[in-house]
Amino acid sequence: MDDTLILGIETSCDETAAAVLRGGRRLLSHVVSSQTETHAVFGGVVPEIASREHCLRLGPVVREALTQAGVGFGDLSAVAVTYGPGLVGSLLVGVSGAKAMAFAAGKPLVAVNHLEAHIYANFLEHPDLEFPLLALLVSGGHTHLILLSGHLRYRVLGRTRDDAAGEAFDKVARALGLGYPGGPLLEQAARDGDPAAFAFPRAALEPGSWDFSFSGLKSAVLNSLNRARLKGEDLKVADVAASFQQAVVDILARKTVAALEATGVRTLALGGGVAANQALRRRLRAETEARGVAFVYPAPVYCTDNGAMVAMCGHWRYLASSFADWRLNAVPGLILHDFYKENRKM
Amino acid sequence: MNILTVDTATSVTALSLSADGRLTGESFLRTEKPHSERVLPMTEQLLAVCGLQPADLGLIAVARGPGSFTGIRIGIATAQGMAQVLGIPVLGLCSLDIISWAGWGRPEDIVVLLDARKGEWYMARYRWRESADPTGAAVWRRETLEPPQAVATRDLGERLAARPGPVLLAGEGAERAGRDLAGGPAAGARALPGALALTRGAYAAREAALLGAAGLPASPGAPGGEPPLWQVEPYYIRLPEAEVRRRAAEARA
Repeated sequence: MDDTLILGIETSCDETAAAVLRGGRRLLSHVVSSQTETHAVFGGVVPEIASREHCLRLGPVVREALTQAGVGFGDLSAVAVTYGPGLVGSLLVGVSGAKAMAFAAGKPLVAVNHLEAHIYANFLEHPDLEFPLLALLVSGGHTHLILLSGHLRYRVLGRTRDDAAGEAFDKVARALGLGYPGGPLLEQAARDGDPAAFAFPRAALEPGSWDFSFSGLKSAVLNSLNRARLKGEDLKVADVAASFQQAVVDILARKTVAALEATGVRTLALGGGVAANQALRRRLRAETEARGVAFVYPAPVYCTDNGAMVAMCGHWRYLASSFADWRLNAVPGLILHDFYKENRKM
Repeated sequence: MNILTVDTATSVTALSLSADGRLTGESFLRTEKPHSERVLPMTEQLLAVCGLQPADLGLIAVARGPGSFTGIRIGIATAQGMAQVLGIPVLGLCSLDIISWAGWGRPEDIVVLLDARKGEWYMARYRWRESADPTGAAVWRRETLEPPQAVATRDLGERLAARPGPVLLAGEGAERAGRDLAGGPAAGARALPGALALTRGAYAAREAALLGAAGLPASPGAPGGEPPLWQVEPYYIRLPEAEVRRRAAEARA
């Protein structure tokens, strides 16, 4: 029986989070201290303010996670922490705190990539997911299509060339005056709208590419809004939101389906903040059902940034003896590496 | 009791270890590597060469600012993270107070300067005075003549000249400020040269000893009580730039 006990710490953006996971299966605690309200008056995450908040919240959040789990630092197998990608000042608080905790407790330190953590969020409710699997990672900072041939074995098939999907959501939501955070508010507004009211563009890029592009779509939406404003027309916000969301879902679904068909992979996993979007889930469910492909996605609380996904990924890195040393630094532009290929080179 | 001090508020990573009030080890690095890559390896090494385990520590003192925002947070997260595991208190130290020890016993006023960017210095002004305790023995007391604050670089000369008496500049900005002051109202100010102006673990150790129990949270209470013994507030002096702009916009409206 696997008794591994991992503390996972996440501070890459505006969520201070910690969780304790036993045996890669039982989540003993899961604490998230969100700064959304702190940043709302600024209309977006302010990096310096996020860093300041992490510095105040990290200790209490970790203490709460351990208390809820009923364990102490001495019981842990390892401390896992997100070291990138993300906001450098935010990452540094978590990395510095996690290193100090692991050092003082005499435990190994495990460095986790935020992107892989979002994929591993799927294992929280589906611990027996089988490989190979295709992961679609969509958040405010990232849009990636990743092929996993095994634990910690990644091949990035496609990524966004400009805006991330969630970023496009936020910018369009702001232009529509929906407020912050834009993603959930835009989804709400889209519910009463006609997704066919506007024919916004879906960039396909060159044949054979699994990359994404959202900047053309975003510009088209903003141009429509400006044109209407100049003519003194009143656009129905719900229609714009629904048509925009439909275009994003189309772009994501088309590439994902193309990748499923080209690779023959039989499992699709969704991850990241935009993975909570119902329209996206509905569409991907329909596409996968039609092809007999298994489709999994995390519960909404594990789609946004959290410590549980870091602990889950940390669990698998711990089993693979993937340990970091005390020089670990934050890497804001960290990219996803295949762990085993990376180690063969060394 | 073993005390570890951690100071990452400037470009220097400075550590010290003291046992029962006696400085036993010190560590200083001003390489190109960032604090996050230096501070924990240095802590591990210092403890090891002093023959100590983390669990042998009884208190950690940390420079909580002013200085580099990121540096302050790395120091605090490091000190708090260790103390939280060990169940020991963290004592917050003012980074300018720490550097004032560079001028201990000097007759001049000690002005500590750190680069605050945006055309400003973080500045504080101190004087070390010798006096006699009730038994007649000589004791040195530090007076803070001007508390830590941000001062426009162009105003520094006038600010320094506003008080009489000679001035000795310390801190990472000392030499540059000394050059800038030439020809102005405070042209007589002299700067400590090179590394003599910088922060050191030994100074933080003295500062921690000076503050002692007075600097700790008033009522520690039970372990895990509020606020926890290891909780330290950063001392930024400045608001985040976005907050400054937001307040200015609010004031205009």
